[in-house]
Amino acid sequence: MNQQNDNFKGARIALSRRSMLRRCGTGLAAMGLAGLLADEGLLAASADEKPNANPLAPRAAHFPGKAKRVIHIFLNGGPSHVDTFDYKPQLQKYDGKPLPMDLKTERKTGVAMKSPFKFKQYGQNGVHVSELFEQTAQHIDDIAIINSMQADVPNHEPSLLLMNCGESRLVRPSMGSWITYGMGTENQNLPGFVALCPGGYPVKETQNWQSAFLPGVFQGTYVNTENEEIEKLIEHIRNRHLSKSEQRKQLLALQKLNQIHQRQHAHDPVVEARIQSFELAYRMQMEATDAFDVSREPQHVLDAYGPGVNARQILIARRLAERGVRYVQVWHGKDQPWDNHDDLEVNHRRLSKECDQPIAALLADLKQRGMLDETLVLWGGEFGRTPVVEMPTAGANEGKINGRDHNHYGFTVWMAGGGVKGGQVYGATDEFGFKAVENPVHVHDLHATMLHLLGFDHKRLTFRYAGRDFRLTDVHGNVVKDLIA
Amino acid sequence: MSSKNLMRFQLFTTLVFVLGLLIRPCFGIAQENQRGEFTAEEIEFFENRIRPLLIDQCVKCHGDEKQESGFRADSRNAILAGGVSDTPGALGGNPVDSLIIQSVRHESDYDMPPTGKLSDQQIADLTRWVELGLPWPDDAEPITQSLDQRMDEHRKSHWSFQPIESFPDDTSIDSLLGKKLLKAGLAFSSPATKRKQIRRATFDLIGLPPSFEEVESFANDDDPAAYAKLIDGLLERPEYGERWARHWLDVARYADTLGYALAEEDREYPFAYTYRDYVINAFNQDLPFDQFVVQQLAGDQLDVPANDSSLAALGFITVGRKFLNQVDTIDDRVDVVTRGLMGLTVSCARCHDHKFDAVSTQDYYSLYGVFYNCQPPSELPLIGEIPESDAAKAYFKELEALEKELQDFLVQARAKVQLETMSDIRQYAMAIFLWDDMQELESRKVIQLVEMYLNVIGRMRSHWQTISFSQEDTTNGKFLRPYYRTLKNETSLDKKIEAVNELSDELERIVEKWKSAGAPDDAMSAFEDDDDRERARILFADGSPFTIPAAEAQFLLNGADQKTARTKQANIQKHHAKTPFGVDRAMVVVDKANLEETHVMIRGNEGRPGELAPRRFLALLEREERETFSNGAGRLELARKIVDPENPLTARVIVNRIWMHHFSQPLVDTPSDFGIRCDEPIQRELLDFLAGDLIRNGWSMKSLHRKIMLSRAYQQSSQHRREAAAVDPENRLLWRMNPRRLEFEALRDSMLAVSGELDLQRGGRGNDQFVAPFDVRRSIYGRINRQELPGVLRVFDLASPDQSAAKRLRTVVPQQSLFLMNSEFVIQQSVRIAEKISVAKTSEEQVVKLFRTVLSREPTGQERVFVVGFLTRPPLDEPIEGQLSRLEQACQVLLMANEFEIID
Repeated sequence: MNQQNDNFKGARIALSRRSMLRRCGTGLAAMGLAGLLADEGLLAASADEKPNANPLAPRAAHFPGKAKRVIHIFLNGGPSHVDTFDYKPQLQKYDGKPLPMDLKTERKTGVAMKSPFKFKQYGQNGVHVSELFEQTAQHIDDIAIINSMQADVPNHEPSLLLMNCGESRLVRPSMGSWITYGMGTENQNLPGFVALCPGGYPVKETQNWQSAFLPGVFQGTYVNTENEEIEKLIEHIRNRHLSKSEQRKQLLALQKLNQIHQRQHAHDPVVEARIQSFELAYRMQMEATDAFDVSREPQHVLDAYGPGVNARQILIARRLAERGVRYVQVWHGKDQPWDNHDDLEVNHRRLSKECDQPIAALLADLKQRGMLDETLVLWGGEFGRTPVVEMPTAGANEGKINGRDHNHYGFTVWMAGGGVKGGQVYGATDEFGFKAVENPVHVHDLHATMLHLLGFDHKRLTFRYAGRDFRLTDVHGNVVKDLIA
Repeated sequence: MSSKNLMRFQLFTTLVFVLGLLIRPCFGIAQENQRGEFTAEEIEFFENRIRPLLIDQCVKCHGDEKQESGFRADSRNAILAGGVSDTPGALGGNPVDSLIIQSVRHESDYDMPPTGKLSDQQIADLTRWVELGLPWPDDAEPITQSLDQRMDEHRKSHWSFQPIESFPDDTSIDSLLGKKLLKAGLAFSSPATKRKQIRRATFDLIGLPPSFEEVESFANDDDPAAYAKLIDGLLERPEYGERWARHWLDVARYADTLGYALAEEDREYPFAYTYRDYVINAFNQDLPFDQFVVQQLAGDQLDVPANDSSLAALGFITVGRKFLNQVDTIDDRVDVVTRGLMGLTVSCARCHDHKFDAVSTQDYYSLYGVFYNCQPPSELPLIGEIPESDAAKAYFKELEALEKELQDFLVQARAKVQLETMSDIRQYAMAIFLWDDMQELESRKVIQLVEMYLNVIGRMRSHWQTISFSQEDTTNGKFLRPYYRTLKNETSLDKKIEAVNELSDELERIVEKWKSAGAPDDAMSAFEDDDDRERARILFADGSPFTIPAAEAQFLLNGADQKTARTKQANIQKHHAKTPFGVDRAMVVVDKANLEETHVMIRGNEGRPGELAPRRFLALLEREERETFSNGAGRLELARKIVDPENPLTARVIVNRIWMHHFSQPLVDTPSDFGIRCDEPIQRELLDFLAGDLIRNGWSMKSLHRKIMLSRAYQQSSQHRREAAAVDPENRLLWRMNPRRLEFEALRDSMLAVSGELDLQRGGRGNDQFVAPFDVRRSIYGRINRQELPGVLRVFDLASPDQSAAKRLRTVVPQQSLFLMNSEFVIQQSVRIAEKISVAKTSEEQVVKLFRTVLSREPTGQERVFVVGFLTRPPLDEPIEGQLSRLEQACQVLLMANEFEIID
């Protein structure tokens, strides 16, 4: 639609059907969302009908997609693909020798460095996975590994923005914002888009889940999962001065006074919307408290996910997904834990130990609950790491010559569930894992594919801003059909 | 477009839309329509008669930029395929049944073109063309208008580029609105009650509620001029500027921090508040809007004292997000100036010509050049009188110490870099000449890159190239230049190393000579011999990394030292953030001393310079010969072009923004985009009337407010009327006042006002308002951290400080209710109100006092009975610790009530 922004104008939310139709007559892209909003009652059928003023109300996508929600496990800092899901026996052969190829890297790099980790084959197709993710590998038949990912530059900041917002530099809405904008969310008592990260922010901070020019309500709600108290997780979720029953009575009094006032304002949608929103808020207090409280899980589930904050937050992600939250992003830790320029072996081993078991448990859990088909799980970082060793640079690393530099030429992400065709390895890097050479998948293509799985034509999910229709994939993006079941 | 045409247009597009929905599945399937071979004569006929006709009459609405009815007339296939009506646009050889022929003959549902029937000759040409089977050259691109053609067209036809219409003397807001209402069979609503009028006007102008006493005294004032006096009084209140400055800060993307930066860098804009205070004062003093614009773009170039407080206006340019790349920061500045002031989306032309408006990339880079050629000075100027306080003295003393610390460090660091580089001059020479062979050189241990200063290598390399190849001065390169030639032609690495070694021998000799002369600061003084001086220049001439000013020395340093320098820099910034009250600096920019030409960046790519983009104004808005800006970077000239009364956009854009805030709805729905995708508004005459009036009144904002608020349209009731809503559901014709929902700032300020907590201290640096103990100044004085916007501001739809905001979105979400129900801030205000009214003895009296305090009115009988009941019925459960009393709860109920947030 031409003036989508108008859906969120509060008092003007109840666009009459007629005016809506008029606005929509001007463009094809317009029609998709107009129809979609009309179906969902976002538009009142006549000026007298009660409108639904809530921009988070669930809406159908362009076409029925398999995936209904997303869990994005973000290994921030850049996990090494050649040490996890991209098996490169040639690196053994060249270990300590210069590679017969050369690509410019962010920092100075030297000779080839073999993976210090053992690889084994898993699943029906004998997919190679390293010992770092041996538990996740048990689910390899549900996983589609993309070994030919590409980003634009070997720097964290722009690559984080590219992976999250589809644009490296300028302020653009994040994928979670786009998706909640497009589909709303299933549970009105919880935020539609939640970003979990223990201990503080990742690099680029809140820009990773920004809504930019989309309404602020589509911005990711950041939750520091190091906290266990609910009040610290969601702002203003608990009243410290009223018992539940007193607050109930207080709100009843409010509604009564509002009703007296409303008699003169029967036709102003925002008046009604405000009345509803207090009801929603009251319920949210209960629901949110429950959703974040993993202690309510039975012991065998807690055991399956294992100990540690990553286990807890991945379990929280499952609880949120189960309750209808549209988009959950789980960051491994603050800053950039996977950025191992030094001591890659020790660090990658430690980090994978923190998340391999819970990721495997998540996949098993989702499957067991019948949710995996509708839940798109994405695993990956903002880029991968070089097959060659990083050389010492004063001030930039510790000079131990046992780590890897950033690599945007080729890296790995994987997806599972949500209509993804599992058990496959898509695309490939060269024989050393330096650069994607077979079926390269740019981040824009990944976004287009994910939107497709959710039921969106990525070219039609647009928002008019500053005179132009913006979209997550800008002017790029191709859906990778082979990844879709 | 007349309103009759408008209605027809609406009906038509509605129909088209419905049809579109019905036929969506098969839309886009091209009709089979065999094309034969066309003769040269037929193609010539197309080129001479048909192509110009299509360009002139059709593709504007049926082409690349617009596809009315889903139909395009810019290629043969598109014409054959037709639009949403699911009928082919033409049938080759059969003009009688061809929709385009029927349409131009006015024999179909569409009378085309809508501007007037084609000439008989033109219709005959088209008919013949269809008869011939629509001849079209084989390799033809879709036909489009050139940018110049579009520009001509838009200048002639697009409403917002036309001169502002003038009106007879007896014209008024009400006469223009009334005429349209009458045509639609409607009329204004009756005036709102006096109690509602004062409440409306007070919130509107000062963002705070009137007290109960003020309401009553106005309601009982029989003076016919009472309302006009009320408006005048409100406009004189200092709270007026605080209210309306906030609206402007949305446009100016105001924040107190620069956004994302490296860990050790400081993120504050410690003096952003001086811009905010400038805007407040500008509104309060009724600074004419044209001067307001000029000061914000070029305040430094007006004849004002060096410490004039109007310099703070330049914050308009500088308070935006600071991006990691300078080009993006400049883009933000071009954007805020063009969209914010003129409603033109010029930034769309950064990578390619604007798709819709006639703005070329060259236009974009012309303005880019203006902002590329100005930058903040190394130290921001102090403005106003500096107080004689001890605090101020201590600040300056500490500042001096911190600056000295940084300076000393950089001088030392520069010396260290210099000494170390000189000792390894051979390695540096190798790196400079043989960079491509680096890996081999390292493995042969000829150089050890890890120990070298990478930035020195870079700078030295460009310095050597400059002295060797500069056109202006060839003497310096005499010695060095031959090495470039030798090394370029040489293939053997050994031979290359040999050559560099030979050069290095000479350089080492020079270094030794310099050292033995005592390593003087003025290095050239150590050399007398001409040959020596020639060689010494390689190391010591201006431009060499060794002669760099200390202030820039940090760019030579390696990681750790550079970090230290940044930390020391940040310490100075952090110290600024603690300036005592009254020590203010303006966030100015100054023009660069050496202005640089800028070029178009092809596809927006910095590495692909295109044609030169001289600094000048937009072609679209220039009528005569375009002149290149000649005064510095050209900011003053740009500003004058923007506020030129002949500029058709500026006055219209600001009038629309002001109107939007008075009526909660703009006249033009896209307040920052008046380009060609912005249809002529229904109330275009009204917009023009007010824009012309604004200019005639010397751009006085207060006159504009007065004019609007004294209109009948503004004073009418906001009561819903079913029969009027049936005709005009969106109230475009203004048959009633729109109820207003308070923005977050006004909501919070009003809570503080009714609780008696509001601190009216004006100006100065802002505080975080969302941590206890709560800052109780007006919301405009809250600190805005753009990287970490407080969650409350986000859920209440504060305009994003990341880009110039055209208007705020208004959502209703439960997080807003959670804030009102549970936040300590709201509870604190409720407790304060309860304290005030608990002096009343009976519940009855308390309820009366409560309604008077919070809603400035008496409770109705029904309300009184109900609330008294709420106060007196005991709680069922055991109270929790610190539980609010029923009276405190009731106070909170009124703060949460719809009536508190929605103003009639």
